[in-house]
Amino acid sequence: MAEVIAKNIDNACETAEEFTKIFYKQVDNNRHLSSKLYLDTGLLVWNGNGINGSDKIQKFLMDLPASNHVLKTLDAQPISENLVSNKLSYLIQACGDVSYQNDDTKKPFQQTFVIVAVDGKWKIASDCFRLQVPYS
Amino acid sequence: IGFDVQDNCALPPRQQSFLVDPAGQNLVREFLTQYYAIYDGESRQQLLEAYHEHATMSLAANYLTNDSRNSPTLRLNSYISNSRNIIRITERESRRRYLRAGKLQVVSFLSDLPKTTHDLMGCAVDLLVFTPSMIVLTMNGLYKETTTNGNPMRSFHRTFVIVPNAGGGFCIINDMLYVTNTTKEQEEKAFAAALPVEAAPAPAPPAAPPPRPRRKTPRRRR
Repeated sequence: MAEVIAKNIDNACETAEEFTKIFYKQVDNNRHLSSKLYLDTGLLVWNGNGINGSDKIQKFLMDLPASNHVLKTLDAQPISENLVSNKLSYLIQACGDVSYQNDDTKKPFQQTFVIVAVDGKWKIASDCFRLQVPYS
Repeated sequence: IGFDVQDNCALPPRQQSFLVDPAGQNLVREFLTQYYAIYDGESRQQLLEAYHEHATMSLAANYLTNDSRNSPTLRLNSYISNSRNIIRITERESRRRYLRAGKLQVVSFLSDLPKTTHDLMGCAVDLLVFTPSMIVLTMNGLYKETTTNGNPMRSFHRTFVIVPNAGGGFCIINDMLYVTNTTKEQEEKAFAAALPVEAAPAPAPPAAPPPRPRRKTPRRRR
């Protein structure tokens, strides 16, 4: 039992490393392919704007200015398996700096994903992106 | 003659809050109010009731890039020493150790973090999942350290995964926290709404009464 849990913790971390490498590479360089990373019913909440479904997410992402993300901090935890439709799922938190085409300044950002294993592929169930700015 | 390149590349305006389901609004507000009343209070031990027996919690911390300010209050030592940044912590054994597992370990870890007062009114809150079996909510905001020299402010990003418990309430099963320094822009707007969170004007109620499957938790023990 404990062995299984430990393996799942290792796997969450290693999956998070692979996932974020692919995710930010696609968002920065091949954004037209990004929607494939989301569940059909996936949710993106971008600075408080909610976008439902991978088709709409694709359109939303395409309308954002070109970006460059640099990851500085990464963390991951397994989510109890019976929670997300009995599928293996991980919570991933990625933080770093992003700069956009219209502005070279590096903006700190924080992003949290719930990813689930569906038919042998990892898919994003929810993606919450926040720039580190005042929200009041 | 120029080229027709994309000129209009402003970012979409930001929103303070997103609710995947308006029915979750009351529960989120009650949960955060009750949780932070204890978290910011005298003793975090009372948070034991708020966590699942097998809850996991991890903290990651880092400095802002190119932060030229130089002040001892900017040092994040009390966080960095516990930071589970897996970009730096690459050994499996250490990665396991830095993940706090079980509610006793989680609450004892939280109890050792600096004492705080959170700017809940200035917090961005996103409710990402709201189903009878699972709630996921993420916060972005800042807090003040209340017993640290100079009362420094810190910026945080935190995600809670919440599940129903046997007693008909809810408990936290995953808690993931990121801490960094506040930017100058954040500090200028910090605690701008001076009202305590209880005195906040109630937002418009949802059109239909929310389907409240269970009682809210955590409850404060007196």
